[in-house]
Amino acid sequence: MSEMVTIERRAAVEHLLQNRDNMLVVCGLGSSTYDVYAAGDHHANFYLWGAMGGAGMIGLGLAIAEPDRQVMVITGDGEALMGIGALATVAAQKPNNLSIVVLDNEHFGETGMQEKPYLTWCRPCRRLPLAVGLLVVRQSMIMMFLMLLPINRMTQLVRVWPW
Amino acid sequence: MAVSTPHIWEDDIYNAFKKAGISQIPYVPDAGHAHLIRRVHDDPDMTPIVLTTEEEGIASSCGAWLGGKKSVLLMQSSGVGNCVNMLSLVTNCNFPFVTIVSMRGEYGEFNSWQVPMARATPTSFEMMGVEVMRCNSPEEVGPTVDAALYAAFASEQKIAILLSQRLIGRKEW
Repeated sequence: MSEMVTIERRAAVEHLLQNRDNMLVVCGLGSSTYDVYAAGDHHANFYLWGAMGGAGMIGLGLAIAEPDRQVMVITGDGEALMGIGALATVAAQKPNNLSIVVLDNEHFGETGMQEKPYLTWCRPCRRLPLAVGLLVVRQSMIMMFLMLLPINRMTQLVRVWPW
Repeated sequence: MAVSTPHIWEDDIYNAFKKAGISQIPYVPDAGHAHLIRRVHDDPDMTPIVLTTEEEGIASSCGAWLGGKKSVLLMQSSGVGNCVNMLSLVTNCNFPFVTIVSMRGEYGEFNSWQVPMARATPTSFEMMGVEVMRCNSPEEVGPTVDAALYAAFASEQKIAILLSQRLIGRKEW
């Protein structure tokens, strides 16, 4: 079993976007869009404030269209859950230029901080490889955060703060 | 399970895709599009994207256009209702959008579960600002798809082409 690590979301997103070169960024509605904007507006950002559940698939279409550029989706746990089937779709395509980063605050932040009344995003992540494929879950979703941390364990989970 | 017999008009759709330079084909598996889907899989210049639910294909089509590529979503009428909120992405950002919908629940349908969504299909698109074009006969299909693709990608139109069940053929149980 892995330990849970909490990191500060604004700093984490800012770190992810440092030295981005020509990377394209799609961010899901709500706090993740605010996080990405707070890290500095950029012409290669596509901000969502609706179309909930669509961020990952916008990223997939973009990654296939632009195979020579890195694409990063930064979204929240609620947004990702609403389109959770997209993880299976992405895993089947295996785009090697797409990263999906899920900021898990264990709440539905945009709608009033309701608690998420079921397993946190991190827990399903450990189970998803059985159904979804290791590539997405390990490399795209979790590895991006691992790069921020002095930890090598593939199953390290990250919870973000503040909510 | 029987594999559906190819229709000539499915090749007309494929040829229209080639002419328009369509490179991403998200789809939910469907017997009405079976031959077209096989052709897409056989084409190295097209990327087929099998979906878990139809609205994923709205989002991926918009992503493709952000990257300068053209996409067409294939689905069956039963999935149209899943797309309603995601179509706000198309209208809000004024993306070009084309979907080709094989109809169930109309001509000679044996499965009553297909009927409600079939009846609501044109309304669902229209209420979200998507123009509806319908093909009832084989000779209409090629020109309709060609015109829709041209209008969509030349002038940011949002178009759903409905392939009538009468065209596809009655599904026998």
